[in-house]
Amino acid sequence: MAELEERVQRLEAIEAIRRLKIKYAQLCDNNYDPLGLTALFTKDAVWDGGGLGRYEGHDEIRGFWEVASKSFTFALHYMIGHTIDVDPPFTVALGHWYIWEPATVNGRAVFLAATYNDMYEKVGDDWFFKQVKANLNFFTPYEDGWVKTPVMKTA
Amino acid sequence: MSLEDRVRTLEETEAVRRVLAAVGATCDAPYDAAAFAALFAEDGVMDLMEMGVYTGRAAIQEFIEGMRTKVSFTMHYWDGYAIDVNGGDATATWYGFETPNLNGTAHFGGLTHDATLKKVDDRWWITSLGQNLHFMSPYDKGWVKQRVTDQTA
Repeated sequence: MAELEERVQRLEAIEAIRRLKIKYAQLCDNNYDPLGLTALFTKDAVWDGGGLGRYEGHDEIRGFWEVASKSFTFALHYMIGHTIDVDPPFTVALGHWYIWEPATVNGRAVFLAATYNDMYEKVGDDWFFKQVKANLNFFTPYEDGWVKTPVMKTA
Repeated sequence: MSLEDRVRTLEETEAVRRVLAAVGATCDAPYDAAAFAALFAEDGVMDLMEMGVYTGRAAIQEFIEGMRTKVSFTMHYWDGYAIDVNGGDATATWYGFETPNLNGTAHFGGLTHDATLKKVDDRWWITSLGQNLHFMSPYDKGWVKQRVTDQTA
């Protein structure tokens, strides 16, 4: 019975973490809701977007989201092809995701493709992001495509 | 919640996911209207906003049959499911990216969807299906130049 309980806890943790990532996507697509997004992170969390910057703690992370919506005026975050690893005592977990993101940045249609390496921590009954690392594959204007312009400048 | 109830919730979540995935697959057949409608409860409702509201399997099937004359090819990339199961009822939201040939022109479609389902006779049935069309844009234009092509034209 103890083994069965453990197997169920693993599946429940995976499902809860999956929902956490989907919530992240939905909040990003709701004009990068800064308060909603920040609440998904532990207080000492790190969001590392490579060229988009590295932000540590709630104040810095919230500040990033407050600015993001000024240039990213539309986005759909398709979080796909994920794996989630979690073991007893089911308080920390790792996740890897693909993201496909059509967006409008500074008035231009763009395609963004990246992967995420996440670390999660369970606090009480809920899972939170401890670390989000985005690895950009391409960020290209719609008219150009990723061969012609793999990464566009946003400034 | 008992261990059995927790396992059942996980199993039903997966079962609902499979039903919703089947909806996308019937669209990619392309548009197997009978198979699509068969996933709905008899009084199921499909609300496609500007494209109309369809109640009951017959009306849903008729609409989907009509899509075949406009869309000769498409792929429905559906994921990002958020599914909540409560006994014999379920709700779901998810993301959809589509690549239709709409009236002879390649398009990209970006949508989000929602559904309610009910389990009857050991099977999940869709009682309502809705969508939010964020863009349906010609390939050569993109969503900034042309956000939506009228799919009913």
